[in-house]
Amino acid sequence: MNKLPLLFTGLFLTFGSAWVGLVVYPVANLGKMQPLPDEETNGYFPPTVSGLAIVGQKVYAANGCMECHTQQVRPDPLATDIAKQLGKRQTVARDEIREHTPFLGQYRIGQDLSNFGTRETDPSAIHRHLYAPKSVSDWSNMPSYSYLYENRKIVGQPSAHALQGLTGAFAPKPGYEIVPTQQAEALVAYLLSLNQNYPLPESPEPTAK
Amino acid sequence: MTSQTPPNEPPNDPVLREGPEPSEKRAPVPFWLIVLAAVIIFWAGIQLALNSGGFRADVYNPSVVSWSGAGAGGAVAAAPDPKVIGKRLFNQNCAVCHQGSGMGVAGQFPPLVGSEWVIGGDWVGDNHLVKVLLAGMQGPVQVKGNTYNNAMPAWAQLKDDQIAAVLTYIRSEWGNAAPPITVEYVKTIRAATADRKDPWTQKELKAIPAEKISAGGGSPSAAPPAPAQPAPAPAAQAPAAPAA
Amino acid sequence: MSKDQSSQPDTLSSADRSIIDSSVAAPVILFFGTSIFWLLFGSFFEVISAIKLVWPCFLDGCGILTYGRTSVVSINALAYGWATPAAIGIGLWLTARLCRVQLAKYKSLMAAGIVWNLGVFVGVAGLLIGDNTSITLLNFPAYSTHILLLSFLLIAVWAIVTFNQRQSGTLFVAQWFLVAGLFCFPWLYATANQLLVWNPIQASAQPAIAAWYEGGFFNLWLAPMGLAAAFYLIPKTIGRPVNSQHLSLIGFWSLLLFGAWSGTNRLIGGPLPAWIVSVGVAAGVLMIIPALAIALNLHFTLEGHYAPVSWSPALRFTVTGVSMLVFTWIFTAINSLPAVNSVTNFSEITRGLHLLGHYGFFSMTAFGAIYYILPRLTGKEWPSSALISWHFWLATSGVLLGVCVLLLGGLIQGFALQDIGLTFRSSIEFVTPFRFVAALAAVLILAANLAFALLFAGLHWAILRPGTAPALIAAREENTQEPVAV
Repeated sequence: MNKLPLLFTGLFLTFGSAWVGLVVYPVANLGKMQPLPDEETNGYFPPTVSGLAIVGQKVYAANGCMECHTQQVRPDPLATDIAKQLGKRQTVARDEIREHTPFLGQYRIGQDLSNFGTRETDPSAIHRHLYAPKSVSDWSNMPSYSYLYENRKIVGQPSAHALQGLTGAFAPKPGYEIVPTQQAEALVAYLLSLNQNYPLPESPEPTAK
Repeated sequence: MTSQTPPNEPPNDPVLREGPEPSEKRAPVPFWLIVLAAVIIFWAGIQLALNSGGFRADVYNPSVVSWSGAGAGGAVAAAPDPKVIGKRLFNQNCAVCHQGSGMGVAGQFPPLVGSEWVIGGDWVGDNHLVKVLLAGMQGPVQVKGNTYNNAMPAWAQLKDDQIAAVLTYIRSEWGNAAPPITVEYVKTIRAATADRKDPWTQKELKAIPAEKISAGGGSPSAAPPAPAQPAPAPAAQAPAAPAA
Repeated sequence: MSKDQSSQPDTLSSADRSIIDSSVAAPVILFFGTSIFWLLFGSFFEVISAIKLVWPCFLDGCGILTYGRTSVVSINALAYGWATPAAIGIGLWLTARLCRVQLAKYKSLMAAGIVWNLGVFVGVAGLLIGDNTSITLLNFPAYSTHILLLSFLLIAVWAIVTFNQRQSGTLFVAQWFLVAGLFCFPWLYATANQLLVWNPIQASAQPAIAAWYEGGFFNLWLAPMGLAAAFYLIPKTIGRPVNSQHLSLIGFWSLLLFGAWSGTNRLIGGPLPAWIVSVGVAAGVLMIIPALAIALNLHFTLEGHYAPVSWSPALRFTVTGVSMLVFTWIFTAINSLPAVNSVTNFSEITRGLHLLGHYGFFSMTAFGAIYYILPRLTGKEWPSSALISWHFWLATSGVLLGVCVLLLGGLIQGFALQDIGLTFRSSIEFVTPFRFVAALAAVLILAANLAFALLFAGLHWAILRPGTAPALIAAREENTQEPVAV
């Protein structure tokens, strides 16, 4: 193999084959997916995401949440994700179409969040968890996102958005309140929108044994 | 490169002690490596053939295919439960005002839980409920003793089975326990009020005699609106909350 | 020298080498020097992240230093600040030496080096303020990757020009790897950035491309560049030819083919069509073939002549690095089996394999190459062989300790994550002691990198006593027939 053209031809064939299979094929076959119309309700699967949740995706990315949380449910019988109630069915490509970037993740340092919005529906509980994770569970290894919250003196009426239910060491000083910033509100809206609890034909729910 | 241009400085020690540039021999490949490579390639081919879901773009779980042989699909073909559809419809269309809890918003949107409009009251019948959904409602309305004054939009764009599903859902959720509304019943009412486009008012509806879907399973026997029993005397302006 | 001599193995006189070396010295030293800065920066952030994994309250409540940002900064600073410029520096020197030409367009390479570091700086700053694309190894925001690609195109143009002017008739195996790396990286980087970062396609198609890039960055960029250095340095320093051209061919082409297709084996059970994952699984397992072919080839080359490995820093680091590459590929092959992966996926094993490949293989090999190259470019000997020895042992023990605890801890964590009877809390409690040891390993690696940076500084500035003799890190036997190999 002494000729440069020969080497380049080989490189084109080997590397190019993978480029066609792993780049061109997905772009052509997965890159123009439509949400499925739901005849029963005139809605769509996956459902449209609200404006605030779209802003929240950026907050999720900016703080590297993906470093610790996956957003993919693996199927039976490969894994036990469904038995562990991370979701009712496998995550498939169509689930991602509303996202800007799919936050699949590589590590479960924290819990999987594919269906977080079905497990936790109370925004104020999520705010408490983000502000002071150890106030929710003392074994939590999640860092605090207190920098997304404003610890401010109460002037006049307390804010209607202020965090409720913080106790002990996590409670604000008397006369102070913890108020979520726009970023925190957006992040919570995004987390609440995480829900793959709708049927897709390509991802049948495993039948109960 | 030629050595005609002399270097600015003599070669340094590390360069001087270097050996010759490397070359390559042509020793044979160990036989066992070829055999091992062949075995691995064979295995890879087998597993690729078995676990690739027929190389289809819409098969994500190879084990589903290898069991059913039909690819995706099977589980979705089952007839959907009307209550599940009704819940989905409710969350998409109704929960904005009436809330997911069905409790409404005090002073603005009336509750559905225990409401005589939903489960039937002394003068309110199931026909009224369907009519409200088809054409909407506006003006003052009494629900569970409270007066609300707001507008409910018409939902005539929903199909009969969808209206039946969402009504069945709200009549059986949150402790409500009224019989289901059937598709046929919705169809009858829609046909009877086809020319009604404006939202109803409570006053107009009160003039229409109430009907009940029979508790026996929602047979459309109550469908013909004409021979219904006469309306009860409109005595109470705000009927008492019906028994749960 | 003339063309008719070029088929002979050694037509380069010391004077020729000296001319070639001085023509590449400035850009290569620039790339090495800046990469060592990012090496320290990245491994410092790695230590911070490792501590945060054990004690989340460490440096808590500060947006810039939240775990999600420090870990991303460390991975990307090491990949694009350290590994890539180091690979480019090694590639520049090897290309000039193997093509036997003086460097053309010297100034454009200096510009490329400066622009590259500007791009890395902008990218790291972007990550710290929260401009993260959330795609592993492509985390840099779009405004910095434009700069990086521009810089790399300058280098690629230079490489093509140099290869065209080459005086050597045959292409030596190290040159194949050089061409492969320099050819694949811009293709990988431009495709992935275009489709995922600059003008993102619909998210449903993104995971396959992201996995393709992540696999390709290691298998088709770092691995070929590190192997180019190994296939040059090992035969060169021990003065023996590479054992078998047939094995080289098998190793090279199987790496190119299977390396390009592996990558989706990290998404087993993920939202990809089954066949794409299955191809990734097959390719991941097939990587055993290049691993064995390359390992055997270098082993047969060294067989009976392992003695210099003990005293030559270049040889010892390179041989250690290549053996870790073999283990990286074999472990990755095992981890690609769906039955194994269903347990190990999302666990610390992923981090362990990253450490083994990126640091254990690539960084160690690059250290070896730099130990060989820099004395020739500067004309100075390394100041302290004791410090080199410290560097080696700190780095090796750091990698081995880190990889062992991450693989073992990850296995336990994986079983806990998979077991229906155990809560998520158990998986954290089981793995925390292992993360603690992994943090210690990160500190060892940081210390090793500090020793290396000190040596590099001592080569240029009078902070250590200048070396006077070749830096041997073990006694060279009297009367040995082996070359100095330093």
